[in-house]
Amino acid sequence: MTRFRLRWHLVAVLLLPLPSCAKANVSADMQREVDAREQLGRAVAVDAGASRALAVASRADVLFEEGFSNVEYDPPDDFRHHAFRWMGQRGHVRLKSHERRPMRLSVKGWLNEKVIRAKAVVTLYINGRRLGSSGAVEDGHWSLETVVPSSSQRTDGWLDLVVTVSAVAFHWSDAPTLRVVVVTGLEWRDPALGP
Amino acid sequence: MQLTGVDRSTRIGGPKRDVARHATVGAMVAAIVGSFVYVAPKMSRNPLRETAVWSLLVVVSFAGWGSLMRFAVARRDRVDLGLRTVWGASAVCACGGLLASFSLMNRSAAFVVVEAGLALAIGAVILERRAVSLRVRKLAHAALSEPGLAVASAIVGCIFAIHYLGGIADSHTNPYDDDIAYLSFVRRMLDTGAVIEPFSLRRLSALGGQTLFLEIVALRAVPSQANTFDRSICLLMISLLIVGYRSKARKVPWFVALGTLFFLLSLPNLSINTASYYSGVAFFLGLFRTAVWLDQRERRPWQNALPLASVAAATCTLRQNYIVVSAVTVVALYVSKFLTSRDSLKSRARTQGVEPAFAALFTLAALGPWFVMAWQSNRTFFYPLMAGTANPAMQFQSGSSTILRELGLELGTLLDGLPVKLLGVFLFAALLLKDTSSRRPTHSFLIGSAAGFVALVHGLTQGDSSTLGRYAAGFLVVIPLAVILVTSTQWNGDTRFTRCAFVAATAFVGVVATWAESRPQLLTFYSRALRNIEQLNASFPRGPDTDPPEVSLYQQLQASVPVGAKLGVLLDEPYHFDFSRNQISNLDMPGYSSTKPGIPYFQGSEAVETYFRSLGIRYLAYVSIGYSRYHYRRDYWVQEVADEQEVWRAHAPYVIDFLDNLTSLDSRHRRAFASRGLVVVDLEEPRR
Repeated sequence: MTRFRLRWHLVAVLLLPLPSCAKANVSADMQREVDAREQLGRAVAVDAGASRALAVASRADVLFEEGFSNVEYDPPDDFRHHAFRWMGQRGHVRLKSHERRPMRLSVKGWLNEKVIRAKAVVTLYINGRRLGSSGAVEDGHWSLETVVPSSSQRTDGWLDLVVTVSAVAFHWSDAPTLRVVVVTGLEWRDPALGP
Repeated sequence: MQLTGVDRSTRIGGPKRDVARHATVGAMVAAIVGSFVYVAPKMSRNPLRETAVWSLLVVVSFAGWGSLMRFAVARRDRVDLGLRTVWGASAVCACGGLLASFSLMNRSAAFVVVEAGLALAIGAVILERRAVSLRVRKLAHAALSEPGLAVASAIVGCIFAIHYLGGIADSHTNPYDDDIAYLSFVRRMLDTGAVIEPFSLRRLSALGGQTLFLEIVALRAVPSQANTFDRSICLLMISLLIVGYRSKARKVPWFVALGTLFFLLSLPNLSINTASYYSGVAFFLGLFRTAVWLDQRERRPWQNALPLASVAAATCTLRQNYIVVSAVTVVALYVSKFLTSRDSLKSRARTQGVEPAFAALFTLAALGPWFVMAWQSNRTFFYPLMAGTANPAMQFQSGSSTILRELGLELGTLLDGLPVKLLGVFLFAALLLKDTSSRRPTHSFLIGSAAGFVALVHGLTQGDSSTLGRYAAGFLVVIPLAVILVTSTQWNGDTRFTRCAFVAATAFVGVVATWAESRPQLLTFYSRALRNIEQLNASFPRGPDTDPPEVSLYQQLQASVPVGAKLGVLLDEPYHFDFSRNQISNLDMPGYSSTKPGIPYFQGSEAVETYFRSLGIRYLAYVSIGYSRYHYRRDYWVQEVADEQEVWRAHAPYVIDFLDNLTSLDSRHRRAFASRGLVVVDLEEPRR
């Protein structure tokens, strides 16, 4: 390598990190602002009496996807009322990994035994691996709480949580709008932060 | 037969035909002058007639400017009315941008631009009197010889008239987009000659061409009639482009043109606000038609480049996401020409490099002033690649998007988000079309549209299919129109099962299915449009008696602020202000855009106060909690914190925080004005 080329390499090596440093600062500021807005949004909603809506709402690290209805309220039309989502036999939620730290996951809901006439079992899978099961639901109410270990988190990005209910199914020729399972809360947080 | 040196009229038709020709031209000139005399003076008139006549004059003015461009680049070539209106509108856009970059594109300038276009149109009618008269005669002859077709044309014409007048009479504006932002841009341009809005996301995300056209319409329309440009004028421009389509020597058959028009009119209404929808279709169809026109004859490079670059540049100013489509289409046109040439590579490089260079130069000349104004306003000319005053914490790309999810969003938009539900059928047909011109206009436009669509979805993964569909409709709706027009001029009547026949059949299926699918929406549209037309026609002439009460309320509010003082506003209808009286900053969408160092969010009201005072903004006007008509309802935004869409969940805390800070500032400072929930806070004086 000639002296000329070597000099330019040195300049490049010294200068290249500069924009990335600047970007890192911008990113840190951005993240602070994003965290602040999340906090404010949550505080305002809780203050307005909408904490039940927040429990089933998509948020920065929880995204409700296919298999769930939009958030509904009972009585309807007021976000301060009892909030829930209808769920089919299989519901998909995306959870953001927090640097693969172990995370506490709890899901709760209700299913209408009178309609399905069976003792359903609710099961959670993270990226295809079974994480926990409710056992046969006896009185309609179900809840699952577990810690997702770092070993179950395959990536630093998003994890696929699948909630399945064993007894909700229908024949292809008999496809009613099965509104028998609801989710009333999903929590995804760092257990180190306390209960 | 050589006719040089002899007056053709004398030889062919004699004095009788000469009189007829002069009568035709005279009637046209009289119609233009008469309409202008009717509409120009400031006086009381029927509001429907006033705006209808003015809008038609605007189209004639565009045609006049387009005739000037034709005179410059192709004075011996046939250029139909449709192409002229798009070329003319593009020229107006370039001139308007230049004036606006010097803050000169105000009410008077807009009027002069239209007047000049009308004078040019009259000049063109007189200069081309022979051709004009011949075409009118041909039309009359065709109507007499084919009465069935004439009746069908009249029916389509009536349907078109309902759409045209329906656009003028539809007083519904979108409170989320138009009332808080777009209409105030128009008013600001009328008052100050430019649109400088550093706090506005809407200003940040468009260069401003649509605002210029809305301003021209606003000279004889009230703000609630802002739909006139997109839904009436542009619909007429699209119709003229369809009817005038010609490829080489073949003209689109009249019955196909009628069917295509009927197809266009059958599409569900694209627009939900006064932003660019039909104007996108008009300018993209104009771009496509200009590309087809270029291949009809060899011309000097600059003569080809000027109309193409003008239309491409004007299209770019309408919506930010149109830039990619226009740029890639133009590049694809030149690359195709380069690849299809049979000359040696060296020769091609030498001879074919000049025209793209001219095109780049003309595009830059037309877009440059818009870039300058965008820089003056938001310190960027290429948002979102160059952030300018945008808040980097507010992204439109979803944090959880993946390639497959993006693909899913693209498919969802194509299948469900567009007004043409069977776009896939037309895309398939377009791919099968034989593009015989050297520039391959159809395929080049397909490439441009594909690139623009992918870029749009990639940049807006927080959006849903209907939002993305609206943004993409401007160029994607052109594909079915182009397929029908190109097929109709390629098919030679051969009844064998050729590829062209298959494409024609495919397009026909697509058209029929679209008609069938949009029937229920059309029923609602027509009943509403007819009622609106009837109501506007029966309305009193515009005046203080017909103004909404907000006009005087906003005037009183502004009067509470000293002349020349800086005023920040967060109000539902800021377009009632006189923007020449005060330097007004519209804070329409808190969180997205602000002058450096940026509005401090989530840091309390003291930080916000310090920020505005550092900019010299002493007065802040806002609509207090519980009084907002739509966009600044705090309760609504609290609900949006738990919304399904990421874009609203992210935006809601900013609006809540800003409203709370304004309320806090209000509690500490003197109220310069308070009425019906509208409050002006004086940051310099404490509350006593």
